[in-house]
Amino acid sequence: MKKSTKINLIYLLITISSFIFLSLTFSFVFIKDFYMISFLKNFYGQICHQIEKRSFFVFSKPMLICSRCSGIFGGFLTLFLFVTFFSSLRKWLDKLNYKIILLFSLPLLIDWILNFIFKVESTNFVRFLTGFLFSIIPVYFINNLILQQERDD
Amino acid sequence: MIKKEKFLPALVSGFSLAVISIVPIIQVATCCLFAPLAGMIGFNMYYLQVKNREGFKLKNSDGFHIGILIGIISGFFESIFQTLLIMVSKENPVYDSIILIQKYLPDMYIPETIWNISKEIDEKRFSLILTTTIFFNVFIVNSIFATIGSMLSISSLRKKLS
Repeated sequence: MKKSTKINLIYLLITISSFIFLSLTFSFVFIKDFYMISFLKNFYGQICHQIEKRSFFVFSKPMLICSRCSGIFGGFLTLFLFVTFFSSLRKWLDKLNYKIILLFSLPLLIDWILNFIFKVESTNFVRFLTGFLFSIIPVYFINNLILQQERDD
Repeated sequence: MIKKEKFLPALVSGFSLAVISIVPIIQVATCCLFAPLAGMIGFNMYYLQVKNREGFKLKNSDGFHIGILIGIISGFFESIFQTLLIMVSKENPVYDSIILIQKYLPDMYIPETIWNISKEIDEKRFSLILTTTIFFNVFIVNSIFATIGSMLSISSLRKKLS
């Protein structure tokens, strides 16, 4: 298999996995089997507090992750989709300084500090947005890992 | 091969992850950052031990090993902690789960086996099926997210070193 094809396949695989991961957070809407739904609820419960007040509702049913996590995973999927289909973006992203990238965690941290320490309640949309910005960090580092693997090969 | 240098950091971060996961307030606060953070800390601890060794090179497979180990260790400890918590409390997580699912999916059929597990917890305060389920659930989720965390750690270390 050609090296570039292999790398493109890795990007595609990660995008598909994160799409499935995000789709399953809507399980309450489309899954009708008890075992399946309780497995998924516990699965997502392991990574998110699942507080109803802090989650988005679809067809009057809550998502299995909170709005902040929806932002993080939704942002990850969106950004990774771009990186998968526009290969020039990969190298551009990799050239950015990691310290600048880490600054994208600031909005989430500020929102979290306001929420948790100062008890200032923000909206779910703000939580989603700060999560979305935060998702640039994992995309940046995972992109770097794949490109590094390509260079090592 | 899993060596002692990998096992010890995985044990420390896996155990810490299991302890933190059962504290409700902290769990609400840190949400989905737990397991990746454990993976990052675990890999950094491993890196600090071996970085001065001759011929040492950062390898993706090392991050993968540490992530999986953290998943197994945290799964083992968390299932014990959760089981002990159920034993000493009046809570019944299976029943709570049934109630929540019925709230949003009132027409859903609840299998007899699930009611039996719920009854078993009410009577004996212990269910082997539940403990096993908790172990596998925690093992799968934490392995995935701790591996992501340790991989991110490898990438950031490479960025720092370059």
